[in-house]
Amino acid sequence: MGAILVGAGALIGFGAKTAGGCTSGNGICGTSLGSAASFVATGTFLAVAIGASFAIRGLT
Amino acid sequence: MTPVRAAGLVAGVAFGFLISGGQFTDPDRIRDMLLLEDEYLYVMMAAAVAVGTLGSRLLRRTGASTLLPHERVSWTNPNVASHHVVGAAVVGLGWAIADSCPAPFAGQLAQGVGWSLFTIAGVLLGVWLYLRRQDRSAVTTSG
Repeated sequence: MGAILVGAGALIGFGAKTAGGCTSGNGICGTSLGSAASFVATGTFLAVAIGASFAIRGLT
Repeated sequence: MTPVRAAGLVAGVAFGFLISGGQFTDPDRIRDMLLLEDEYLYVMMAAAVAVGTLGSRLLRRTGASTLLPHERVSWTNPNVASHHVVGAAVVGLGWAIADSCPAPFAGQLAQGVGWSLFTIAGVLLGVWLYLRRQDRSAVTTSG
């Protein structure tokens, strides 16, 4: 469980640095400033997270 | 403490208080959000973006100054690039596995949720890996 959480955190840390923001940085701040890149990032992480959540529920 | 750090501390305390009170730090709530069984957090995010959009435009239009340093409020947005999509997809995967993201991790730590130590360690590891990879590609392009 601990290893899974460290891995998930590492994905978030690496991805947020790559995308220039996390759920708060791109999803709330960037979109508030009207950044197209933040809207694209927000649409992407929401779509992937929703898809992955359904996949995880299906597998477990 | 420098004034900028003091201002950051105040803003951080307010943000942590509000997302804790708003249940944005609750993994069960985030899981239900991502399984499309609970619209609450979508409404909360949309409300935050609406307030942020109005507030930032209002500050820019009235020529307000930033708190520190004293400069007029203005910003420029980056062009859309592939790294926004790739990075966000990686974030989305981690978000679905942890049912939390960086701001909730910090909130959970303050609430005494022990396993936030693991996710926070993971975020630090991920940032470190990114910086290490960046250093190496910088060496490659220059050399």
